[in-house]
Order: sequence, then C-alpha cells, then structure tokens
Amino acid sequence: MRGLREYDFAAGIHLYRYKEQNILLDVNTGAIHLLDELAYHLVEKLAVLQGDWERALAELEAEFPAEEIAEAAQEIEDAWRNGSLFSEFAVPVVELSRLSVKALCLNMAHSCNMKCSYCFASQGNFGLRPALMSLETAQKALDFLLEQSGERQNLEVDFFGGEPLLVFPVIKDLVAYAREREKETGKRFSFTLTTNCLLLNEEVQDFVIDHGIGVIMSLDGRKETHDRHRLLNNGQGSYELVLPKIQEMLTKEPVSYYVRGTFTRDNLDFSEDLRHMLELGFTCVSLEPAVGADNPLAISRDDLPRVLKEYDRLTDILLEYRESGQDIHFFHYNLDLQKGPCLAKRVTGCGAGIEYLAVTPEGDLYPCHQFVGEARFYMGNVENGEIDYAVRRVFEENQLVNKECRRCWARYFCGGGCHAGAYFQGDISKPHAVSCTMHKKRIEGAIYLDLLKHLPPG
Amino acid sequence: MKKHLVTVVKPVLFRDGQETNCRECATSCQSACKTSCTVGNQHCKKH
Repeated sequence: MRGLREYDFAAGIHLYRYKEQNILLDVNTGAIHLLDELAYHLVEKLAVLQGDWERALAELEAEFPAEEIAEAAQEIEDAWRNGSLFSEFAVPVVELSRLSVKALCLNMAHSCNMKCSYCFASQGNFGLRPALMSLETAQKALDFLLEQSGERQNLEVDFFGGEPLLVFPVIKDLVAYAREREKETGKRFSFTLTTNCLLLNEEVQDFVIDHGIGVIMSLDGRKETHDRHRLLNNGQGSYELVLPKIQEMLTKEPVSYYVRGTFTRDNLDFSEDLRHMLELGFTCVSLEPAVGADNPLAISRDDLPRVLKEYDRLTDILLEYRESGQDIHFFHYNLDLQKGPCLAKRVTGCGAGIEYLAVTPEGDLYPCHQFVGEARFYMGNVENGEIDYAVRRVFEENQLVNKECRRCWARYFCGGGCHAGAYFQGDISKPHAVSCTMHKKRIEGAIYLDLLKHLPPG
Repeated sequence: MKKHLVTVVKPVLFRDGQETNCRECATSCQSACKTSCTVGNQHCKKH
C-alpha cells in the first residue's frame, strides 16, 4: 500500500510554514491544504524519506500517540487518493507557433524628462539614439497589431518609454485612430499609459478618463526613497512634483491604475515604502526590485536575507489593511487561487516575442521592452509587417518544459520567469536565481493571504 | 470530519475549461509589471 517511493516530492509538493499556518501546496493541481503539527511532520518525513511510509510513521511514534498518527496518515492518504495531493503530471508542451500577436508595448519616446539612476532603459533611450515616435509610425504599429492578431478580439497597447507623455499629441491622435479601426475591424483595444507623471496635467488626466485608459504611475514610496533615485534632469528629486498629479488623477477614478515603485539596495526596508503608499490612500500598488546585471542598485544575493524578511513585513501590512476592511491590490500578490489563468498560460509565461512585442520610435520590433536595442533580438519593423521567425522561435522554445525550472514548485505561478532577466544574467534558458528566490517568497506570502479568505470562521 | 489535514483550495489547474489557451487574459507586462514576470496573478477572462 501507499506507494510513493517513486514520487518526485521536490516537483510535486511545496510544504512550508507561514506564521501560524502549516501550508501544503499540491503543485500540479493547485490544491492547498492546511496541516496540523502531526500531519506537517508526516509529510515532511515522507519527502525526506522518499515516500517510505513505514519509516516515516515509525519516526513519529516518539512524539505523537499511535492512534493520532494513524488518523493523520489516513487523511493524507485520502487526499492522495482523491487527487488533491501527490498528484502526478508532466509539464505539458504548448504549441505556440500559431499564436498571434495580442499586445504591443509602444516605446513612444526614447527620451525622458527624468534621469532615474536605476533605469533599465539607460535613462530612456535604451542605449539607442534619442527619438520620438511619429503618428505615422504609431499608426503603422497599430495596423501591424491588427494584421498580426488573427482571430483575437481584445488587443492591448501600452504607452511606454522613456516618457510617453513627451509625445502626448501623438497618443491622442493614435487613440482616435484606434477607435476608428475598431469600428472597421470589430476588434477592441485596451490602452495603458506608464508614466513618471511629470506631464500628467489636467488635460492628460481628462484624456485618460474620457478614453478609458489604464494608468501606471511611478512613485517609489517615501519622499526620501523616491528622491534618492527618481531625479529630474537638474538632479533634484521629483516627489513633490509627481505626488499631487497622482492624487489628482485618482480623484477622477481611472478605469484601472497602479501606483508602481522600484526598490533597490538603498531601501531594503521597502515595506515602509509600501506603507507610505497605502497611507496616501492608494489601493492598487506595486513595488518591484531594480533589475540589471550591471546595475549596482539591483538586488543581489547578499541582500536576499533582508529582502525576504521585508516581504514578511509587507505581507503583515497587507493583512493589517485587509483586517481593517481595506483590500489592497498589491500586483505581485494578486493571486486568486480559484480563478487564476489556465495551465497553457502558466507554462508559457509572459508571451514575450510571441504574443507581446515592443516597438521603438522608429517602428523596430523586439520581443519585449527589456530587449529593445539588443541587436540579436531585432525582429523586424512595422513598416513591412514581417516578423523574424528565427527570433520568435527562441521564445516559443524557451518555455517551462525546456527549462531547469520544470521541477520547481513555483513553476505554475511564474511560468518560467522573465526571459530578459535570464538573458541579461547570461543565459535566456536559465532563470535568474535571485529573482526566483524573491518570486518564491512573494508567492508564499500571497498564498497565505489568499487562503485566509477561504478559512472557515474561527 | 478531518482534523489533521484540511483542504482549503480544491484542485483547480486541470478542471474542465481550464486548459483552453484562449489567451484572452491580460499580458503580464502590460500592467504594473515591467521587470519581474508573473503569470499566476492574471485572471482568466472566462470566469
């Protein structure tokens, strides 16, 4: 009975303690169980002893009554038999070659009115010559998206940069053009605007509202944090200039928004920056680690012990707000364990190079915003509408099943991680270990917060 | 009544309708994420 000797425990389950809870994730099904101390120890021993039930049970006899051990063993076995524990499943291969393009990141400006010290885009120009996107190029990009989108109905366009509001008139005209093309094609565009907010004036705010544009506004948290790296071109901090604009924008209730910050080695107490954002009344927030292999501000392996503790504090803050009746949407914690994406999405990741592409001001195509300027990842130009399928195939093949992380417990939450993060650390097929460690910690916290919603009262 | 193991979230990844690959859900990096990919926090448009 109870044959688990061949089971791949490392790939099949994740057992961890989070505060007062003993949590057991069945990776392949997404089922989550809460265990008492006895069951926790039993599952732990089963994993260590590679499914040797007899030894696992025998080793518990000194600590727990025999009758209790038998009960716990039966409950674990029942969960196994009903398919919610120790499930077996090979990571599927998803055919991506026929997947059409659905989203463009339009780098409206390879130029910026700020010079943030951690910017992965080299202060806005991505290491290329400064440039602004013309309306003609922007329209061709939209036409390209329509042509490449196949049967898709819902398309996404993010206005990005550099600072996209440097060409606000182009954005206005492009949205008008898109609405006309929607009528012709029956497709629908969702727009988002990622901005440093310096130019987020009343006219822009009203435009965002009138056209249902989601807005992502950069704020790193506390004034001293924000002003340390988010600098104006004269070297001064930008907090006092951007905060009122964010607040004005939110009084107008955009269709969706995030106040998004970056944390670096200089603010490893970043949960205090989250708290500051929440105290300002923002409820949709995000804080992401600075990235870049050559970026001295990026989180390093040495920082991880502190960063992981900080994520615990961050989880506490989110719980504190929820218990006071305010549900906060922290981007990386927005797990809905019952209604997440399908398995196909989970094993193929972010879609970069396949269904998501970035466009430079000159119309050049790259697999995503982070690859812009990397010559070997140049994919074509919107002018002729052709895509370099050799580059695309790199991304089609770089899916979970072909990576070392196919046995990682977190694989169905991250989808194999960021292609660019891996590439810039040396190998696109090998996930960046520091990012993975942070990601796993965030998932543990997010699962904890979500499962508390499912607990019976008391 | 179980007392040692309580299933809080039932198996979801392979239930009917979950493997559709319609790709109508949001693209990860089109929202607040631009540097640290996550897919688990996207929501299925069919729910």
